Amino acid sequence: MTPRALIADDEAHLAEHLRDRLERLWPELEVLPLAANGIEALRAIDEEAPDAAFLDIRMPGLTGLELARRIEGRTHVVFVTAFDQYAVEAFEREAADYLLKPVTDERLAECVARLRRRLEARERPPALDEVLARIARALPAGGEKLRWIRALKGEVVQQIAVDDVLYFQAQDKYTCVVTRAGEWLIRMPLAELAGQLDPGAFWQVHRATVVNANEVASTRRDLGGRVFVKLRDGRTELPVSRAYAHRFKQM
Amino acid sequence: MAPMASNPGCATGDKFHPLELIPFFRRFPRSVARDVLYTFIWSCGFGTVFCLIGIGFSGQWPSLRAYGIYLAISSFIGYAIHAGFYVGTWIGLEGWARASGYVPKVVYYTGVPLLGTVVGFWAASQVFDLGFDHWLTEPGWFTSIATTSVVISGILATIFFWREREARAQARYEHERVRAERIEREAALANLRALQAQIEPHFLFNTLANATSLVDSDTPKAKRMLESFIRFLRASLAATRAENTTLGAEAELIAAYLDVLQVRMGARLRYRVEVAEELRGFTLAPMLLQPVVENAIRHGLEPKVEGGEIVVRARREGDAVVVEVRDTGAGFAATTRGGVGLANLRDRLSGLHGERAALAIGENPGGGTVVAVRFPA
Repeated sequence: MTPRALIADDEAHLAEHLRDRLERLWPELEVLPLAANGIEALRAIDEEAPDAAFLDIRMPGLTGLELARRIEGRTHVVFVTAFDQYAVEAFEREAADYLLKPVTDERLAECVARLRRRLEARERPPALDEVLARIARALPAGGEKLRWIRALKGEVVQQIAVDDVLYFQAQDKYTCVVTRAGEWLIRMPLAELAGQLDPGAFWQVHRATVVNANEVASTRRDLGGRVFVKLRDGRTELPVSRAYAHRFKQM
Repeated sequence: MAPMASNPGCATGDKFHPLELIPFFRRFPRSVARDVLYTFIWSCGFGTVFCLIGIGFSGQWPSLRAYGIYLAISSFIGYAIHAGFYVGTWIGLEGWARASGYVPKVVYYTGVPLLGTVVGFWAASQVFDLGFDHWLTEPGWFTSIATTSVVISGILATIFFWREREARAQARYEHERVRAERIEREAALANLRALQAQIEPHFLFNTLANATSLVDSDTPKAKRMLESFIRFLRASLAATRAENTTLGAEAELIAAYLDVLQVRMGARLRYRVEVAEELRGFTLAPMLLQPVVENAIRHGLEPKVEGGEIVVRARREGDAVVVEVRDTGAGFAATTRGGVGLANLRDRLSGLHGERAALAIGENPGGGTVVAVRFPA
């Protein structure tokens, strides 16, 4: 049985080059038509069920990592990446091999030898979930904070820096985003948005209000014991509900 | 005397005792015991002053006992006012008055001492039998209590308002200082990050990988890509060392960068860089625009299967120059984590030009993103 492999890379020159070298190093190998993005690659794997797949990590459509999650157990995966320092540290060569671009001849030969050994021994492709989970944790994007919000003012859509926000106000399924420059709407309920905000920088003060802690200028308590926060813009004063008033006890 | 909050933000954080007008008394940390002692000292001072005024009027020295009574009465008044302000803070009247505008504030800060004076006199009369019960009917008593209370409340209110203004000026100064420091620090940090992030490793290694693959298969293309890459490297190395660059040089750098990517991405990338001749000499800080283009590639075109177009265009708007980077890529999601490049740019712009520069990110009507950077002249 002829072993078959798929190469997926959005940069055609790299994919072709890898194909030429693979064919030289492993003459029996049949290389399927090149896949230029994650979606094409997924389709090819579904239809052709290759024995091995060389997946670029950064690809449009589906990334190499997302793709690996979907095809797990069906094919031996080799990740190809130019520079993913964090991801590389999380790879475990036993589960999935990885190649760093530009790929050296020695490293490619090593990878081919390993694949051939596995295919000849009819080993099942190893489970990847553990490796993938480790990579997901290692990638900095996972832990990054929310920085931008796409919001509407009439017909105009604008990208607003989260740091510029004075406060968020719930309005049914929408959330009103208030900055010094004006008010915008975002199509997301406050509860959902609040979950994505940095809890150290944004404080819920009311069921319907989340304020930017850096913008809180002062608080006051009125005759009835209700608490209000005053913001640094000098105009805004927002009520604090009893459930959240404890935050301001020390102020 | 009455401890009061001089910072509207912290109802209990920054109490002020009038005795702290004298620098010597500022050295002791604030506490209830200290304030009680201070009120005693302050009241004795007041009592002595009133006593001296009495001497001036009558030309007679009072007996030691009479002087003692003077001090006792003024202490009663002092503690009554002290207690009045405590209660006022405690029930929230002070906070309400301070938040409700000028008139309630004046009423509060004169009302409490007025009331305190009357209560203090009354309490003293219970101990010393001063005939206080007849104060409303005896014109002598009434005049003397009324004068005293008006004088005391006038003095206290003046001190408090003066102190409040001082504290506000101090807070404003402090705020400005912190802001200036923050901007300075952010500018330094952002500059550092800009320099570090200049040649993104992913870009570097992918380009080199393309070069090695093209050397065999398509030598002229490899040559073109390497030449563009060298132009880009040379320009960005020059940019790291210079404090300023011109819009023309920055446009060259961006064109070289996009040309490298064009070889790599093939039909998935089309680009135009349009900077009019008269704008090419405009000076700006280096490496402000390249991250915007990098962002458009990374988050706009790279994730999009069919790729798209990037157009970089500069125009003059009054005195300012606006550079616009328009892509037809994937566009922003409703909420975005990351986008560090643009966040850094924002910090750097505000560090360099403050409010005069602006970064606006909007949606390209045909899909994708438009980033407009406004530079002051």
